Amino acid sequence: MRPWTDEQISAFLDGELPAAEMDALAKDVEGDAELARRVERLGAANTAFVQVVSAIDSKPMPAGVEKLLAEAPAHDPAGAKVLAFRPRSVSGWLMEHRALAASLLCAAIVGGVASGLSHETDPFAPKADGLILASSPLHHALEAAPTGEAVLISAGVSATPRLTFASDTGAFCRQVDVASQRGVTTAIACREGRAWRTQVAVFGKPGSGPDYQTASGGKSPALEAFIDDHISGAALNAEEEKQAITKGWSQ
Amino acid sequence: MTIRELHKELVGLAPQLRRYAYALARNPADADDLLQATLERVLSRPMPEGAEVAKWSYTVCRNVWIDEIRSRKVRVAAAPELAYAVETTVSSEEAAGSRMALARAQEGIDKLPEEQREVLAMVAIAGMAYREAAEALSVPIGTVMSRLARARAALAAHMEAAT
Repeated sequence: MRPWTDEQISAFLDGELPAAEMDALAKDVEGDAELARRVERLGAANTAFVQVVSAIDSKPMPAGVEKLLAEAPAHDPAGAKVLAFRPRSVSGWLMEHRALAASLLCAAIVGGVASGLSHETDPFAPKADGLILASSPLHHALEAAPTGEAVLISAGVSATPRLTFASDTGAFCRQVDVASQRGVTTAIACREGRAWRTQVAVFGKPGSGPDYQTASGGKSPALEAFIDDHISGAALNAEEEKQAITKGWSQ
Repeated sequence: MTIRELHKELVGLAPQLRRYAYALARNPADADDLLQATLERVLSRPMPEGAEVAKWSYTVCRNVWIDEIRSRKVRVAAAPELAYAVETTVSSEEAAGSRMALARAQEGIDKLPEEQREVLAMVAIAGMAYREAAEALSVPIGTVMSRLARARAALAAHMEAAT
């Protein structure tokens, strides 16, 4: 094993070391608890940074921006791709090292930041990579709840799938509302392996009536754009969705 | 690229661009001003040939921040309110722990030198490669590596000091 500097560990988390060093450091992590702790420490700091910055997601987009984004130019057919809601770097490495990722997310360094937010309070924002942990009640709602069925995922917070569709990559995706007294977060998560990953999310304040409104009055440009760009064929009907749930979302 | 294609890409990019703006501004009101000014500028001015929308938008965002928003210096105080914006649907003890940890992380971020916070935003939020961040900042890649490592280590140390 060689001595590794913080700069190298930081670059390792970003996937920016030369391939040989990436492999060497990854190998050393497996046999060196102290090195693993240092990797987790810097990774946790990065996660905390992303979480704090992502807190702005909980505020609705300002009206001026919403208006700007809602007013699509009238000419020219669509065709541009929507950029994935997925930062590069640390998340990719963590996804490949699930055990470390799990310990990182629960790390005492971060304390309640990860554990408190990730499951119960804001199921979408905290992860750098949008991953919804398998232990999360939201994961179970996405796995098993049919469209239209509200599932209580924590005290005063419910998740209701609104739409299920197959994406152009063959993965299943679901639009889901997570509602509480503060408002409703509408997100689209797609299945990757056995996990669900948030692709795009918008937040809206509670409406005046019994139903909450999304940030743009029910139709978010970001959500609509994502669906337009990624849906393959029509959305699943109730029977197709039931079969997909029964098969555990395997194609 | 047509204006309609550009608009559509910006719709998908906006949430991530907003986080980047918030990382630079550290204040939600300034971040939203910065986001709107960025989108308006990207939509209204020509984009360099061959440029990627995302990278170009982050560049514009940083320029607007440096040239316009930051210079106002009217709301430069950190905004701990965001750290407290999370809901308290878990037990009060857990929620209090989450709020405190978030607030602590926010403090740590606010204490970072601007050049460290900026490069961390470029890599961790905007997803830039080190080479891209180095070009944007006009510094060597080694400087990017060093600033990132120091930023993460300083943030970790600040959070550990609270536990």
